[in-house]
Amino acid sequence: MDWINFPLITLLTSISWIAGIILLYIARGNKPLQFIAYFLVVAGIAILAIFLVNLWLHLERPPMRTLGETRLWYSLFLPIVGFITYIRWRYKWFITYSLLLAILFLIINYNHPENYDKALMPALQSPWFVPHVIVYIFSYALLAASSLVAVYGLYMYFFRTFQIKTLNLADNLVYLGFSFLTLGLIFGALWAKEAWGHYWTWDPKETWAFLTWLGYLIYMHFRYYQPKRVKTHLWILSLAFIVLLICWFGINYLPAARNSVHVYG
Amino acid sequence: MNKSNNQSSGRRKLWEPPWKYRESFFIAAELLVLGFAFEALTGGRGISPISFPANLIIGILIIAVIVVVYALYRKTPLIRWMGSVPAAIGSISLVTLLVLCLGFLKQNNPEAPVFLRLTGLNHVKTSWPFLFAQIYFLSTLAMVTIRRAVPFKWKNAGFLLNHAGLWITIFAAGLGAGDLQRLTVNLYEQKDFKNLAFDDRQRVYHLPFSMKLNDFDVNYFPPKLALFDARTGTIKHEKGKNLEMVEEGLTMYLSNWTIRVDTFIKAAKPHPDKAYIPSDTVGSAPAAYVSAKNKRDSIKQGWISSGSFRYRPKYLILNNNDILALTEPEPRKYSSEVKVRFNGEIEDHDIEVNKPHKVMGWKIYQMGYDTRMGKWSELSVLEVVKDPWLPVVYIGFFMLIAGAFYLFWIGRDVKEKKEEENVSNRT
Repeated sequence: MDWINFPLITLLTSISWIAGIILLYIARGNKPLQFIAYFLVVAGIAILAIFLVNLWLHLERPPMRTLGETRLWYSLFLPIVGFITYIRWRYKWFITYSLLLAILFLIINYNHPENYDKALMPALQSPWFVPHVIVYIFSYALLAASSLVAVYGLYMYFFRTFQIKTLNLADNLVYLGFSFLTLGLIFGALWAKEAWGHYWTWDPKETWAFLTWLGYLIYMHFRYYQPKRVKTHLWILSLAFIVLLICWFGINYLPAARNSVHVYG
Repeated sequence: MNKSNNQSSGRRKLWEPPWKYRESFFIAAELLVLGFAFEALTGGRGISPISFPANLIIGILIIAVIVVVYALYRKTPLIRWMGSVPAAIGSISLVTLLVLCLGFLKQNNPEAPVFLRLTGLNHVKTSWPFLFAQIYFLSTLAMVTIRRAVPFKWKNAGFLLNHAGLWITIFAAGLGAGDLQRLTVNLYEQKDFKNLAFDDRQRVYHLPFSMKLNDFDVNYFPPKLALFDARTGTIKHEKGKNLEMVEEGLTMYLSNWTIRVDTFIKAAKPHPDKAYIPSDTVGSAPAAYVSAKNKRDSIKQGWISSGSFRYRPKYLILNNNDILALTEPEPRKYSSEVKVRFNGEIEDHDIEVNKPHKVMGWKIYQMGYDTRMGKWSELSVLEVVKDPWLPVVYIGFFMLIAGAFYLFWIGRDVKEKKEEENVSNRT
């Protein structure tokens, strides 16, 4: 079997995740069914992981250069975050959303096929490349998850069913995501020093990465200082994610960001 | 609590202690207006970084002022407020606002409207408002850090790593900006040792060491196979994305063509009988012998080549619409073999992208070359960088990395405990 067959991988992964979700809902405490559901979720993650490893070997470079390639990693990490969170907190809606979002990203990639260019410009050939991207995408997955929780929290707030434990879940995700965001930012700076001569040049991607970092910084401080102003927290957390999205995708469309060293296509 | 908060702030007048969010945002707004005013009064020229020894003296003075102010006035409402979360949020928000302008507005744009130039928003990084925002930010950060640092307790270690780390980073990066030197050195193969360098305004500098270029080389990826539109001359296939690199025996599908690469020569030159032969001569280029077929037309076969500054590219005309060609190969690696002479010693070094070399406090980077000549470029453009404050910035970086691990492991527990305390306080 050819493991670089992306349509097949998308199909297999999506089927196992969707079947996993359905089983989770019908299991209702039935241990064997629940076990099969877990197995399916993990199997989907494993299939995608094997695909990425093979892609890496096939390309002879880390598959992290293009936006499409970063989406693949996102589709891998978001379900991992969702699954671990489910094991810990038992939120069915949460794992459902993270799996569906991951499937959505796979479908976007399916619609924009890439036959995977092996070229890797010299500036990207660095030991920092892999940790920088992995840490960032993992952080994005965690922070996306936290914003998902926030939006769901706003929904619950509106229908007066809000419980503080929802926001606690978001906090855990933000603390984890923010620590990875910090690492990604600094790894990027250390790499930039080796590749471009300076650790910080206010490249548009750097500017927006810093803004993302500031957004979550405001959330964490406000949340810490006034734990009762729940609605404001939920709003800040939802909005911070928009900044993150501009940083990740929007950069390619901003006129101010035409000369970024991060626009690799 | 929410309610009582509102009530107390309702009774409290603006500027009446204890200060909270309103004062924090008021100060942010005042600093912004003040910054705009300074900028406009100086004609929108912004600030230029200060260099050694003024920056070092100012740095020491700032630290002294922080320590003295904290020691003498830490009980006053103003200093207490400066170390509070509302002050932090006000100052972070001001920085965020200006960085947002930086993110949205094209910088140093000569066509920018006058008000953007006069307020400094056309050059946020070197503007008065941004300087004031950073001072506000660093002041609040310093006060909260010192309050947690004295007396030192181990349970505050993570907090201090994050806060002091950030303070040191921004402080050292800001003050060090004036001592940062980034110069360009143009070296030509087989010329003598040279210590001249230029900055971005073409001013000349003499380096304490000199360099000589023995050899410059580029290593390329194989070129890609592309189908061009005969009328427009642009790549037809998916806007030039997703092209595949050529290798011998490769079969690929472009539009409705099946293309097979029968022969591929990495470095070739054209031969009088219209074939290509392997050659290492100056200007040799990749070439391939390909066969293309589709359902309607007959099989087309022929040589194609990327071409170079010396030899023309060679295309294969498939029909009235389609032309098959090889793209220009992309560099995989480029490097300079350099002799560096300092203090009477001579060392040999290979300098390539991502692999700078350090000599006498300067880092030497591979920056560019004559791209038209490609691997036959006799010019290698190197960048030499001196940043004496870098070690201090790196101390900040490593504190932040350690602080991130702290957040990762312990941050949540602390939070949960606090949450429980809040709940138990309420009940």
